[in-house]
Amino acid sequence: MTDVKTPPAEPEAAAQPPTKPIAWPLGLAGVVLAVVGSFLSWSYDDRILGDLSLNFYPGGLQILAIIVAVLALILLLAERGPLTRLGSWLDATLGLRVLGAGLVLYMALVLVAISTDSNGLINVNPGGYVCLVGAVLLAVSAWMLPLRQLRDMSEAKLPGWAEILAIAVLMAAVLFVAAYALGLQDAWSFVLCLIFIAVVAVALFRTGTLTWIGHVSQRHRKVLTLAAFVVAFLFPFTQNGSDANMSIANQVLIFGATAMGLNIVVGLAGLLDLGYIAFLGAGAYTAAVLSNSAFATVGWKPPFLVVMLVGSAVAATFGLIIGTPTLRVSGDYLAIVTLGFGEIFRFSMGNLDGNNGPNLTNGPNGIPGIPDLELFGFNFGDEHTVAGIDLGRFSNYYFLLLVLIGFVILVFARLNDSRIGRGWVAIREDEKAAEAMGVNVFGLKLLAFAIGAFLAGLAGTIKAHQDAAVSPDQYQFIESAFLLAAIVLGGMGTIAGVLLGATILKLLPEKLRFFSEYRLLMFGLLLVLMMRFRPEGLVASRRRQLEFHEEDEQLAVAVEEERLVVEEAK
Amino acid sequence: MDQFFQQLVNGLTLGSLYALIAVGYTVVYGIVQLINFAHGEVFMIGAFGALTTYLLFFDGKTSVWILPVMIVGAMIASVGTAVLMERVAYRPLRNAPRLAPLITAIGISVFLQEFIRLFYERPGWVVAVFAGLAIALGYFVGSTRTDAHLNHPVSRWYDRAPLLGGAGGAVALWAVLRLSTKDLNVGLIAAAIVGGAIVGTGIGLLAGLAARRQARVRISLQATAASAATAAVASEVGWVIFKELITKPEHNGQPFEWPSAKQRIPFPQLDVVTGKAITIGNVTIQRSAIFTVAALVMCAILLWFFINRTRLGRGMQAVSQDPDTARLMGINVDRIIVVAFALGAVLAAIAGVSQGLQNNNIDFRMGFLAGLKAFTAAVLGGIGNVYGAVVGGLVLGVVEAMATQYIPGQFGGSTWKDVWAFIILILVLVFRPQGLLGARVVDRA
Repeated sequence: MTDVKTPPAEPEAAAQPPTKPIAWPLGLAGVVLAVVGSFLSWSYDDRILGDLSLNFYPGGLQILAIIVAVLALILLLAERGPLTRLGSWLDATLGLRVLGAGLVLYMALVLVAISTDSNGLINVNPGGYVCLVGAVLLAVSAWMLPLRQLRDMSEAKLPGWAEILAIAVLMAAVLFVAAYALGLQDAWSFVLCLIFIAVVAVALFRTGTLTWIGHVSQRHRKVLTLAAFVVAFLFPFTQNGSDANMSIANQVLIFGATAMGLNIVVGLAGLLDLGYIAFLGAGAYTAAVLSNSAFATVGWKPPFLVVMLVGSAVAATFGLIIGTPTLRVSGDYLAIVTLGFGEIFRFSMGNLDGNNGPNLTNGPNGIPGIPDLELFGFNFGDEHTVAGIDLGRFSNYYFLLLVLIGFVILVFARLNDSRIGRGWVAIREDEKAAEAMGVNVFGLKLLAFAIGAFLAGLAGTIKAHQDAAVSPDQYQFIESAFLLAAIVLGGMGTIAGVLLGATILKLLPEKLRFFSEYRLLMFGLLLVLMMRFRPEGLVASRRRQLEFHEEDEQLAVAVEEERLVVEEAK
Repeated sequence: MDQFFQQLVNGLTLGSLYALIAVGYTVVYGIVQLINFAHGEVFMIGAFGALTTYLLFFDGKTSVWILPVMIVGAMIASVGTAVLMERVAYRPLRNAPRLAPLITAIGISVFLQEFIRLFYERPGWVVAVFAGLAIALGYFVGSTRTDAHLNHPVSRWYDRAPLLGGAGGAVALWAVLRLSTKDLNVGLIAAAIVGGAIVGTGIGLLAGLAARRQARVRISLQATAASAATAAVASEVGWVIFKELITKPEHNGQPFEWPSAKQRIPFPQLDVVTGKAITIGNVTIQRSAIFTVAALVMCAILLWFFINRTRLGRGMQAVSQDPDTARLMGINVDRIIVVAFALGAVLAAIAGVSQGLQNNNIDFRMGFLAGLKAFTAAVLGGIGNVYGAVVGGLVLGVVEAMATQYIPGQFGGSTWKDVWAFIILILVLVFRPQGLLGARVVDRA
């Protein structure tokens, strides 16, 4: 133990190294090189990565590089130059480091992509190397630039119209990027585009822009919600009748709506439900059995609105049946019991084929051929043309699902802010204390279960018609695990986080087909790593974050301050 | 009446299997209050370990003396998996909210299944494992040669930089060498070992220099060199094992190929424990069933002895009663937890072998349902109570078998037996959450 020594106290000068005069011009040179390189040809082969072979006519991936370079230029100018007033708010250096390192990674992967798609590095044209050198210069200069003291972001206020404009611009950018990324066909382009998005997002985060957006959206919550829905509504119009992406989008929406329902059970009430997919299945099977399919086993054919109610009521009843006895046991046991219930559901749906029980579900084959929905004389199978843009079958369902997810989010948000929601949070955090404070623990838990099941059943009724078939193996345990993973990945108890998690988990496997073999492997690894390193999820609610990092005093203070800010805003 | 005895035999066989797995759940739960969801996968990996041992050493033979070796192979595989997952995934989460380890367990479970499915036929990853083991071994040997206190809570990775650099450097040189030439000859092996030791020592010194400003301890050159040399030798030994054993150049004149785990893999049939069934009256008893029941009886006796008559077993009892006091009494709680995981894995490995012998084939999915049933058995017997797990497993097995036979009408057939098992689980949790033997009262509120 004699050779354990405490590190000497660092002198103040070492923490802030002297500014290297070369850093700033070097960064500028890097930006110029990156832009110039992007205007030159990157690849000899014009068939790969959406044609990067022309000089002075940048292709999509080159434009992304230019965007990164321009962002870096803005930050450089904020560091020293005409935008220094901005520089006192934004942490330009950290942002530049992210952009520099990200651009290096991006360019390196571009070169790898070119050399794997067409044989070898020989197919890389000088533009690619110029851009890479520029990126390296930018990264080097960013690491030499000094870190600075910043002003508190919560004091940064613009006129109201400017803040609303900022939200609008952000949302438009989101729509544009989503449409662009989904339009990419080959996997490499998609991966590169994802890296671009990640780099820009991290840069926004590190400069503090996201914090500012957070403050702005606190002040203009309604505008933000409205803008988000407008963007979602406009999405089909960017696809120009293409069914492939709309079908993915529909899956994301169904998955997101179901995950949001589960979020009530897990995120708010803290009840771990591992058989949640059974409630979606209950809704879907109800809708299928009551549909006009040739394999439907029940004679009653009510209109769809009734089916929706029946389906969700059936699911909610299942929720009550499974909840009443089992909610008395806590934590891990509940997880296992719900898992058992999910398996019972799947086995039963597979068995009720007339041989082993009454014929209700047509056994392992499921019920195929479910016709399209017909609502108020509007058939969801028809194509429409609105403003010259074709909207196919999937687009029709998309709008319906949008309404559904809007409803689910509304229910979630209102419950979260209500007396019931506060009761749930109290139960989640300390059940005994909540009971002592007069919270009706059992009733509220049961309510959470029933509402969650109801919402899943609702989503299930639409899913049955959207998929046009139901079968037992759509409702395996792994699907429940995926739902849970979406919540864990995004951030329990949050709206944005769960939507983000659902999007990531559904979108990536669809777009990265070459990756699908390793999808589950990565999924398992992801769950383990998330729990180890960021158990509160990507978009963490601060309160939840505090639960996972109890000893973090600074965070506790921050959460308290944030609560004050929110109250002020109200 | 014959039907009854036949189903009783079937149920006891099935139940023995459940009981063997259930012990793993209950031991771990009793000590860390964690439902090790991935225990079913440990069972599955045990079966694959046995199969691998058979394919490596005894392919084509049927002598019964192979069985003990296969069981040992199964135990190595499953104990390794269980201990590794405790160390890597569960230990860092020991004080986290209870949701976190449960979700981790689901993740591990999915990961292990997929790992077997994708990589069983491609054993190249074994090389990476050997490389990791070589680094670990190098670090370990190096750390015994230094008097610095590296496991102190304040030590960080940069305190260990010279040792890790030494071992890593040696393995890196080995990797470069082995990527260029894959042959085995004496010159190359010597070059890899000597070069690895020298290069590793150099890199270790450099790493030490780079980290010297933050590092709290100084690590001697001798320790760094020891670390590098050990890693070099270990990685080369790993390579020889890989080349000579795992990628056998040929087998019975044909190139040897590993079976793909994407479909069911036939499990080896051995002389005495499989084959023609024994008939007593009108009751047929499979030989593998006798093996399973006998294994359970033996394991139960050994388990009783281990828990009540050995130091470690008493330590386990103490930790399960009160971890903090046990720690104050000088019991190494971390070690006890590892032992609990390993104990469960040993029994799961035996269960894996019996399952293979009974069903004649194994597949990567078999752990999920078996694990779930075994958990049901553990809850049925009273989770946390080892004998409860055995009793619960047997009861569950018999009930399942009887349900197939005696529940009248359409809901009776074998397709519904899993449903009945889960209904029993729910009923037990509702009406008698402490289980049949009920040592530990479930936290009900």
